[in-house]
Amino acid sequence: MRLDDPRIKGFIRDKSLFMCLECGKCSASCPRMLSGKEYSPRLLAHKLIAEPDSESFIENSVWECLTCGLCEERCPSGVQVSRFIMEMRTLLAGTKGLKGYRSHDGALHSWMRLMTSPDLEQNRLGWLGGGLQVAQSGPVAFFTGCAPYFDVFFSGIEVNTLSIVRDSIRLLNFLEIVPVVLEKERCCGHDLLWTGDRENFEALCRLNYKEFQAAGVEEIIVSCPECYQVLGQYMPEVVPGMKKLKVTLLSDLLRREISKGGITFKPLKRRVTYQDPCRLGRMAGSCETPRALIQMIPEMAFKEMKNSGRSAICCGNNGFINCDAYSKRIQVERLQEAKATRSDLLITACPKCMIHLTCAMRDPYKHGSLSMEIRDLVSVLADQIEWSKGEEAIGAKTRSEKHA
Amino acid sequence: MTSFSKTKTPDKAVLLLGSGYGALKVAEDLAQAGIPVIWVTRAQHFLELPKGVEQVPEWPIDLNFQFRPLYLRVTRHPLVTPLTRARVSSLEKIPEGYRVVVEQDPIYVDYDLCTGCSRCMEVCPLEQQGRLPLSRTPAYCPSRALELDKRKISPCRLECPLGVNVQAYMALTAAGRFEEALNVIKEDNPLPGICGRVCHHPCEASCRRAELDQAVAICDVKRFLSDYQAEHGNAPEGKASRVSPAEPSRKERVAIVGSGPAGLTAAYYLAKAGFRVTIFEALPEAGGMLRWGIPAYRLPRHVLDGEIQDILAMGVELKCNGRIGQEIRLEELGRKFDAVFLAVGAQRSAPLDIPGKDMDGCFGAIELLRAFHLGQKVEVGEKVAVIGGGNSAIDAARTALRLGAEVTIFYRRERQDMPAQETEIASAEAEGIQIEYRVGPTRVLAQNGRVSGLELIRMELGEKDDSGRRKPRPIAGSEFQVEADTVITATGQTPNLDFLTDGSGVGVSLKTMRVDDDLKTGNPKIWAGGDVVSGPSTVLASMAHGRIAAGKIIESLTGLPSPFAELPLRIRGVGEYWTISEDLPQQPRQEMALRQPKVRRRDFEEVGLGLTVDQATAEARRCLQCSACCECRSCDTVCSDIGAIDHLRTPGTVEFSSPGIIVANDQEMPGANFKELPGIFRAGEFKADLMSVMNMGSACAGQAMGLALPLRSKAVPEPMRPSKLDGQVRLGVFLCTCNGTMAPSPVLTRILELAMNGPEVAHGEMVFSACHPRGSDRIAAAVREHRLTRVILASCACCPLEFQCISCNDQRNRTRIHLFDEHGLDRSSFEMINLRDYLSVEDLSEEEMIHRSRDLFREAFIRTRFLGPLRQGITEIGKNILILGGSETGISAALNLDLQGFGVRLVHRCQLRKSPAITTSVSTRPMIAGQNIVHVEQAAIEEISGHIGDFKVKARIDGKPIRWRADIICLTEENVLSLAIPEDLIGLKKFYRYNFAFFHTPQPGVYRVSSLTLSRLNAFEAGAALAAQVTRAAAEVFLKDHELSPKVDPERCRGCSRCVDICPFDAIHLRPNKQGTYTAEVLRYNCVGCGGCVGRCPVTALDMPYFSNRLLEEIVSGVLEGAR
Repeated sequence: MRLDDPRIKGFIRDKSLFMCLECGKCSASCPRMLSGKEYSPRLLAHKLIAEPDSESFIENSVWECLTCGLCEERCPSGVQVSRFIMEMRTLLAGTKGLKGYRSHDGALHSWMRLMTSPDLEQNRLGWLGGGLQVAQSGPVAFFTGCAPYFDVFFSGIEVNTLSIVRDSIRLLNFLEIVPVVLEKERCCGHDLLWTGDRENFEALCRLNYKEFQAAGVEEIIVSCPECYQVLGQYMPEVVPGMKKLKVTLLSDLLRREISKGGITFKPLKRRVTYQDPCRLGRMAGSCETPRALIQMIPEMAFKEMKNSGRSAICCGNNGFINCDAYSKRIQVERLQEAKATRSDLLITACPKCMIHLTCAMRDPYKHGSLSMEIRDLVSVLADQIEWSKGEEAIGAKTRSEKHA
Repeated sequence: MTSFSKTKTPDKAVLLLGSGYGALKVAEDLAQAGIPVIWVTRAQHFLELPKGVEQVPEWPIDLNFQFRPLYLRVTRHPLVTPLTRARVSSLEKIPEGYRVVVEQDPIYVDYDLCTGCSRCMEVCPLEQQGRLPLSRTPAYCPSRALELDKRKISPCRLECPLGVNVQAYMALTAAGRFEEALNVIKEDNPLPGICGRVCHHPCEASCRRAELDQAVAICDVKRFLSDYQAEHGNAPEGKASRVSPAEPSRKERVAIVGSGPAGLTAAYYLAKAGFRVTIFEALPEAGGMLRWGIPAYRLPRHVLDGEIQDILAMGVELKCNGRIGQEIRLEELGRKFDAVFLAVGAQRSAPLDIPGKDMDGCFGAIELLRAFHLGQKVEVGEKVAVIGGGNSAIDAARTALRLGAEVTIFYRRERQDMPAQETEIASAEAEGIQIEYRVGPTRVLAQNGRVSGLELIRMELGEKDDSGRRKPRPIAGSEFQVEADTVITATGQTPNLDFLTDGSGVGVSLKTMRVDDDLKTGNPKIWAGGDVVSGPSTVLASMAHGRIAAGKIIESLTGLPSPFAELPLRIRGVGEYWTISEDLPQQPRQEMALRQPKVRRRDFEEVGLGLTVDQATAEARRCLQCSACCECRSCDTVCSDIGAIDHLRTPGTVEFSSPGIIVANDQEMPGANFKELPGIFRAGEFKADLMSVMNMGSACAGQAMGLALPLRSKAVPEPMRPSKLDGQVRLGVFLCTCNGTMAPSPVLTRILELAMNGPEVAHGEMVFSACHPRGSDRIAAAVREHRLTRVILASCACCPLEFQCISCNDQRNRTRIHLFDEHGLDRSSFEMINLRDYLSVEDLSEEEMIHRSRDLFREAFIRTRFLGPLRQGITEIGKNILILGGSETGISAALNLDLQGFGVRLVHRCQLRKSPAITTSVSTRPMIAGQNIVHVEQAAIEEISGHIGDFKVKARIDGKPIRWRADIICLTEENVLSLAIPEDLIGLKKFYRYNFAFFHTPQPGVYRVSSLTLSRLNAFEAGAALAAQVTRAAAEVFLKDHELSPKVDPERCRGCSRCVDICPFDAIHLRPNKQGTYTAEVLRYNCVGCGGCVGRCPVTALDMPYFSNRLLEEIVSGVLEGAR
């Protein structure tokens, strides 16, 4: 790759890098930079435009970015940093190979790539049962995402991502929706897309679309913000047919249905705060809905963290690459912000936030000063909603089994 | 197993006597403490797995493997001289201790050289038959080296006057290797065809097979081999491959007078040694008594001619028809030649002194036979009387029979007393010859001056005479007469010494020549042998003389010892003959086919028809192979490069002084009174508990250390070498052929070719054996010559680390010792690949071998790109010892260490911080003797931190805080254990298990005595054992960190503590960093390099210096690319 590559020129132009004023707000807000890493979005833009011989700097920077989008939030010129990074990674990966070291020795990326095999036999629905009602075909589907995999892989840090999916379906059932859950669903490909493996990402898109078609799906409900971003925004770029399918965020659906009235919540006497996932808050613009849902629970004391909403700080890592000492610092600082709210429950809406923050909380040398309960919004809602008798029994049983 | 060749034996060392696990521990402790040890045991191996050990529950099931690293470390320790099959022959008390003399049995396969290529096994004729003189060392001795069971030389060989290796040619014959078998005979006997017919084979008389059924028909097998060769042999030069004629390489000329067995044999050996030899023979043809005395039906002339021709073909000149004293003068020979060998034989029949002995018709047997064989007309008439019972008598009788006479032999004793061979007597009888026993001639009857009969007298047998036979006495009045046309006397022969002149210098005693033990006559240039010296004897005895004389002449002319002179054989070898197994069935001996008596008496054709191939092979298989190794020396040929096998090795002796003696096996101690002697420590017998015996070993080592103080040397640390890995890459590839057994030669050539085509290869070569000292010499020379910066060595060694794991063996370990410790090559620059394991899969085709090698080299090339310096951090350890706990154990340790020159602080009573107040203070009066002991009566210990070489202890005495620094800490009081060792590590079993380190704790530099240990040792012994560990640690002076200790990338480390959780050795801690989080840090003192943390790290922040993550990735992708 050379910087005078017309494709790079194209990215610079298309993603508005020429608009950069070098004001430095991006770098000043970049959590990666603030944690001490030698990385600066401003300098990256500068070098791209003005110093075309800084190849190695640019290459390294491209892989360092968290793609959390906070810099874009601050940018007065509308430079699309994250999208630029995504395109550059795709280009670099295609010419120089994937770079940036993978956490967990790349095991998670390997799964994702394994799923591009059309003949892959998965046993991804083993967790169903316990009264959960799902369909094999129909107009409405629920996209489970990677939760059934994370649940196993991260069992060491006791992250129960599967409960998010299970609670999602409970809530859908509560709303008398029996969603299609696809046995041959694949990973949405978010991490591959954001780490430059466009080829395999596209393969996953096509396979998923095929499954949607086969099941006669018209609307897809998702709980994970990353899946939501991919299915709603990037998948239609690959599979134009996706444009005809409706992708609905579960929290939006819940808010809509609850606002119709007739649904009440049990009180929860907890002090809580909320971590905005970057794909949900800044990128999908959904900061208000989660808060509205949290507010519906009686007696709960909600307090925002110092940086919240569209200014929220990243959970420290994205796409399972480059997790390092700096990631840890971001996480520690974020958890300290949460602790400063004097909350005892941290609610988030993304399984990745849950995984990363839980990992950081378990720092034995901080002697518990970082640790607090962390739960997904969907699970909190499912627990607090006023169920009719039989339904509640289903959910309660499943959870107690899990926790036992 | 091990022998003196390893190192020069020190003249001062601690004697460790006996084998076993306790002894292993003693050797380890002493050597690591810098004290030289000579480890002597009469056992064949240092460890033999005791029965029932696997039932000890605390130990891993397979002890063999667990002991391997320790065994390798100890037996290859530079301060340990291990001597197996050795015993103390003398022990003398001297002021410094003991003067020790050790004798070691010869060890025929050099443990330090044998590469275990096992080619010797392939060529051994006995291995092929399932009798195993060669064997691998047992599993508990981690070496591929072989051992040779060579017992006392077999009786047949000892009995043979020529020392012919009967056992070897039986083994080879049994294996169908007839040519090699014949060559074995020819080493010692140049006339196998002749001896196969006329030898009196004393070997058979000594054959132990007779204890089971009948002696092996050795002579017949010999004849078979010779006949087989004559019939199937190759061209003459191939025929005599081991005795091939050399051009005369020396200018000296030797004259041999007489071409009988003695003269021919001497000629053979002299020619073989390169001398110019001329044989002078009085008669028209060579052979002496073989030709003129022995009839053709016993020794066909083509056989005789053939073997004489073989000797002449070696460049020996033959001059016939020249009789010494007539045509040739002795003085002239003395002038013209550098040496003269007189082997003129005993050519005259001894006269029978009875009336009428000179009558016409009276013959001496020798004269008659000679005349007949010379083709002169011999008439014996119709009735022949033969007097005598020797072979000549029989020969004469049977010859007369064949000339048409009726023959009677008269002998004065019994049949079993006859000197003639039993087969000869039987044949004679079968052919119709009468034998009259217990009769002696009194006079020859004659008519007209011609023999007409013989008067004899009956004999009775009296007392035994010198020959062991009963002496005949005439019975008065029992005379009788028989008719006879001819009387042949065969009652002895005498030499004709008429040619000797007064000036010859050759002396005469009675009727024979007088010679000294070297067969030398009074004339310094003249030797004599055969019948002329000994009087009439056997072919074999004459040949032995010929060979000895040749040897002595060679020695005289060259001034060098000659092996030919070494006759008769001396007993050598180790151990008694095999006992004859009760499972061995009886099997009668093979009998040679004979022509019918009535047919054969008509002519002079050979009587015996020889054994068939099947018979000979079957007969050879009957051989019991008494001395295990048959010494055919086939193995020598395949081991010539390695040079590990030496069949002629002799016992060794070593003398040294020892300050004290550690006895691991009471039975090995010479003299039973050792209990009264000072400075002797007994490590006890092995019963069922390995730990007890090893604990006791440490205790003994500890006690001996005080005495051995003057012997102690400081280990010199390996200097830190600058790594050359950064500069230009010049890669060398060395391919160990393992003495040609790694793979077939064309495959090896192709493997080297493909390796040479690798990137940046500047040099490549095959090495005959990487673990052989000369192999490593070669590699080191090439590395220097070609300025190689990186090396791939494809052998059986798997890694270049200073480390032995349970799959290591002596050969692999040796390779590294030679290359890195002796030649000083940089181990960081080596990539070692275990090609042998890769290729030793059964039934690999050549292509598969190439394919596998290509894969292995592909990986190796990747790895060499990622070679980095193996870290060698070192820490000095001082001599300040803190002993916590003044129990008897603590006091014992303190006194011991004081004696060894350590500074000791002994805290008699320790308490934890929160214990009740302490009243007494530091004691000023010494409670126990000792110059460098500081006593502290009581102290509350608050904190122990730091590491070996720099421990810091916070304590309170009388409530006042105090700080101590210590290099090493000993704990004899359990209540402070938790301060010194992290709690979760206290019970760490694995550590002790794999290292047999009973006094170590997971915290290096902290030693303790556990209550379990005190159930096995008394307090005094435990203290000594503890002191031994301290001395060991301190003597290392520099503590190296482990070559596999990982590095931490602080940029990546998240401080998640997963590494801390997984490390069983407390070797990784988290340290706070400036950013308010934590970073992992490897404590190199504790790290054993297991790599658990590296595998556990979720973000790849930890990496090994030797086998890096990057390398692993590259190998995997490289292999996948290759597979694509």
